[in-house]
Amino acid sequence: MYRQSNRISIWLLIGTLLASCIQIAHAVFEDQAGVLDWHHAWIGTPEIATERNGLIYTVTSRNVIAALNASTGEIEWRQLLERPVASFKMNDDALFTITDEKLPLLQVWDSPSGKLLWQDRKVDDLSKDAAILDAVFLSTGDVAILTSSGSVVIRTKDGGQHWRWVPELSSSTTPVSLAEVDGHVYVINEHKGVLSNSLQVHKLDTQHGIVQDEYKLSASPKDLDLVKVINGHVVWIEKNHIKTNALGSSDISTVSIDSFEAFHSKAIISDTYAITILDQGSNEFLLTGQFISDEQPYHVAAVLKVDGNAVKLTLNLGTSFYSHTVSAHGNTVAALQRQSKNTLTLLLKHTKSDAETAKSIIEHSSDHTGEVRYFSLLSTVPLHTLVVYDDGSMRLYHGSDLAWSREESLAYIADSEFVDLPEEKLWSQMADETSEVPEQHSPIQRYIHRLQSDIAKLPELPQWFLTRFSGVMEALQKKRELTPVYLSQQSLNDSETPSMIYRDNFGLRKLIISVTSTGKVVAQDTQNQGKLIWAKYYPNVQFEQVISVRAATVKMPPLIVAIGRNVEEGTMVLYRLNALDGDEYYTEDASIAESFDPILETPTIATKVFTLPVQEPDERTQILALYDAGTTRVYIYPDTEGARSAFSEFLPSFYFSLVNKDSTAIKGYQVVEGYRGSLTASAVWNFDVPKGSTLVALGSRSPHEKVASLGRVLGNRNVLYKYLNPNLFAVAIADPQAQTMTLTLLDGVKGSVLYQVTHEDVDTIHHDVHIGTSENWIVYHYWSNGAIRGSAKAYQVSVLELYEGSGENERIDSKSLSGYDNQRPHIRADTFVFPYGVRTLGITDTRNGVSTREVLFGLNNNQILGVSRRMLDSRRPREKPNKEHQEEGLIPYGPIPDERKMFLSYSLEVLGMESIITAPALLESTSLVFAYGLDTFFTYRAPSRQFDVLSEEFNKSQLLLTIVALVVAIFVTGPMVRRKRVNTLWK
Amino acid sequence: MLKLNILLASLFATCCFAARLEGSIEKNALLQDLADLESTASVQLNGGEYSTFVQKDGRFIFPEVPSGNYFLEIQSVNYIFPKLRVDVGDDSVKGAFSSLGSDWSTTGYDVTYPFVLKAKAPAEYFFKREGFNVMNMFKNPMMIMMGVSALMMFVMPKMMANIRPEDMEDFNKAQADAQKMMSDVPSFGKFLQAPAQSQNKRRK
Repeated sequence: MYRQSNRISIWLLIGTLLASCIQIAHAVFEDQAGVLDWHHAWIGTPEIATERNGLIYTVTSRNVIAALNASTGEIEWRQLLERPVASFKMNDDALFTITDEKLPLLQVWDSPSGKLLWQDRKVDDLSKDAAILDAVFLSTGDVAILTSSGSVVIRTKDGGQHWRWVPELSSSTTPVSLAEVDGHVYVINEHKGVLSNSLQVHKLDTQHGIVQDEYKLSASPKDLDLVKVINGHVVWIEKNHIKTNALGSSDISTVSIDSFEAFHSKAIISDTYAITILDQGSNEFLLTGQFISDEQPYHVAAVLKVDGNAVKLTLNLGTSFYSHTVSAHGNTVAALQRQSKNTLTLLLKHTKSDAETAKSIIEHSSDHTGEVRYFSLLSTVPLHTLVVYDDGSMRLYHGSDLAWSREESLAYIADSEFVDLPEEKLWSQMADETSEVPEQHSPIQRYIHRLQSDIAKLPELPQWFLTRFSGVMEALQKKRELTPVYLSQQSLNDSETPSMIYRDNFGLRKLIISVTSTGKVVAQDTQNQGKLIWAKYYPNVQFEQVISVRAATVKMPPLIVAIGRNVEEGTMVLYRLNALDGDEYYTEDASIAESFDPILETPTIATKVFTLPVQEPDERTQILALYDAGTTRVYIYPDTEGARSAFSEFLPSFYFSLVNKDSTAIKGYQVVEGYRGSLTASAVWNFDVPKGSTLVALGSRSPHEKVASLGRVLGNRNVLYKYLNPNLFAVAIADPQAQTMTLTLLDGVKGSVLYQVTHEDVDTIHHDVHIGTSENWIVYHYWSNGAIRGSAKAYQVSVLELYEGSGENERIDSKSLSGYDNQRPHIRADTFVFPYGVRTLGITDTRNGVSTREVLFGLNNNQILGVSRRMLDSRRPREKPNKEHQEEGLIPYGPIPDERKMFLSYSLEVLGMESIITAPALLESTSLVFAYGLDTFFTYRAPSRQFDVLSEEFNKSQLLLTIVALVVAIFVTGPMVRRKRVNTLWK
Repeated sequence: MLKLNILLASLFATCCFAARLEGSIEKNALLQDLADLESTASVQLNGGEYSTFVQKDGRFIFPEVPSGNYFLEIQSVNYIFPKLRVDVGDDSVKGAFSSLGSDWSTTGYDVTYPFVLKAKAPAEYFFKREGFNVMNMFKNPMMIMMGVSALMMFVMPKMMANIRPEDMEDFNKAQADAQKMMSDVPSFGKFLQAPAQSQNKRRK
């Protein structure tokens, strides 16, 4: 027994060795990295940004903290946090973040390198429940932390505890804030008394935490949020008054807000007053209030300054301002206001001197980006300002000139789609062949037409040869000068018009169209480092889906439909756009123009949008079906006469299945025609998720996928016939209590269970389950706890293969596979240990499906691993492979190796991946891969290696040398042979 | 579901003790400076159930880990680190080397706590490209065959010249026999041709 297991382990070893030696997958070479693939690292839109030592430090709404190079916008470092950041402060060599959660986490980062210095959630060892409330950097570099129990903890730079101070607080006292002034730490608590409220201030010595002074300020602010500490002053609002106290003295000065010009004689509702701190180091703050005039709310704002005991007005912004567009840096206040449709005004005011407000104009149109969402004055000399717009893009201005931009909207991609480009020669064909009616022209006439257009193109022939030649030249100079990636991450300028791009010979060049939750539709070139081709912005729209409805054909541009929700109106919007330039597409056919409008806005919000496999005849676009769960009605888009008749042919076979709202059941529907041609979905079957279990993953085949072979040829020349059911989908249901995960294969039309398997000892609470489906196989990935004897504690990936019969050469005795037959597939399954956790997975797609597929795992550690289907094969032999196994090309059974050479993304870190999409190229060997989430990453993948193109490795010099050698040999041996012949003749 | 979670949470809060788990990464010949370790390097327990960044000083700390056994991995882009099986008890932490896919109950050598881990290998992402090499070209079997036949062309006549006439006769006879045998065996080409020819004949 022992020997047996030993032998198996040897085979395992050999298997893994083989797997690593034999290159069964696409190889990435070092000199190829970054040439064809591109990786755009994103951070999201900044919520706070400051500049220090040439770096812009920022916290974004995608929970990223990052340092950007101020002169180029390149990312120096970044960290993706799990939770949003509630507080962010920095000193010269460190910065800290406090996350927004029940027990906030304080993380201190090294600002030059972005490395974690230390982190803690429970800083006060004595009162464990105390959550972190506020923190400040002290001038010594230590961090002072205020907890919810009122205690103050001082931590040194490396996280060690310096001292702590625990006050005796009564139950009616709540800690508010803390600040450092002149080497003393001031702690501010609010005390709610019986008669009056007050703010308690404790003055502590920074060295030892000894209370040096204690005083009370009589104050009764309405809300604790209205109490702010601004550069050594406590500022709060009571009704219509601003009260200030310079920390260290117990004097309170009071100013009536009405006394300021900006707020004078405006009936401002006192509850709406709010203070916003503009900059940690400056005395300025923003005061805003609201009044109602003619039932319209108006905002009033002004920048005020605390100066000793006085509060002065610095900049009156009046009512013509929108929030978050005021910023301060030291003694300068800046405000950004829209002047006209194409210009923004930047107001600058120095508060020290009585200088006039400086004005400069920034040229920027709101059409492509929307209004300003965030604005930060980074530095005054030289003048650097950072502006973030509603669409998610950010721009850095030097004075009034644009220095650089980042198209951060791509950090918010909701859905992406590959769109084929038209072929240049077809696109520019003189004769519009689609408009020709075959009956009207004789074949000869049509042939002459074609000939004419070909002759017209003859002058371009030399040019064509030249481009061919230059292409060869380019390939010879292998190391082309690559433009830096950050340049291709820039937003498009207002003036830029989309450049027309065409398909290449191998179909490797496509467009990636992405729609974002910030209301943007962006088209990127798969080549040229993913440069933006066009971008379009729709205000107040949250896009959810993009569907390519028409491929490029002669004289007809490819079309996409972007589907989203208008947040302001609460409606669903569908935009039909030309994929080549982003313009809304208007049909030239007047008879359908009314029901083929490029913009459709409807109050019915579709639960699900389906792409149907039928085209409408007028514009040849794919028909979409919108299903509204509330009324169970189905609508078709576009709703033209032609579309209706094309749809009616498809209607009898229109079935779909959907997970219900609270994920407790999956329902199958058939669409039927009801009263007056209205379409409704009637439930056909129901699959309930058992009580106590949850639906954790779903997987179905891509509808575009092509299957090259109906069977699988074995080593002995027998065939296993694949069970190919287009309606098949897989559901994973987890029972966290029993620690089991059940995978069910369902038929989407009749709802029958085709197969069910339960895995025990699976942790589904901390780990997700992911399913990938292609052809006749399903792969799924889950975590196994290793509690069962002999099993491993690791991620596992299982593969289920579906065959028509249990034996070799067995087929289902029917010409076609019908959903109504009660045939069940025969399953072959296997499980492999998997080295990484997975965020998402995709499967390569090639033109005819001949190439071996590769499963692309988007890993938890931000890389993408490509595992060949040959590794995820249920037939991998556990014993020594025999001749038949070898002939079939089976790899001995073993875990999926932790082999970094199988990584598509090599050493890049593709943060926050949410989805991986693939599309075929014209070359059978190659699949295009695009991963998005936070970062975007594009690459080509040839899962069976590039068998149809001369590989880059192909040694042209070797070929030439061989030819030369052969020619030389002929010249040398030729005379010798001749002489020999002559000699034999003489004999 | 929510109820269940609360129940589980309260169970954890009452019955399970949590221990502090810490360790550090130290430099070695492979990782010569901790600054070379990328800032996103992290430590994961059970494939991400608990996760923390590696600090600038190389340390990593999990402040509260409920008792149980865990698979500890270091996620680094540029370096590969050993993997550990960690057993967290009420007040003790034990560690042993482990590997991917091995039986969870068997472990390698013990690791003393707090763990000190060193890089095992650099991560290699690229295949090496084989450059043009004259020797490689001659190692090609076709080239060797060509070389041998060329050599034979020069050597054979000289060898023949030195052979005694009697031996030569034997040699010629043996060669003739061999040729006769070859011609007796029906060739594969003829084998294929034969039925085709007969078919052709039939058609005629």
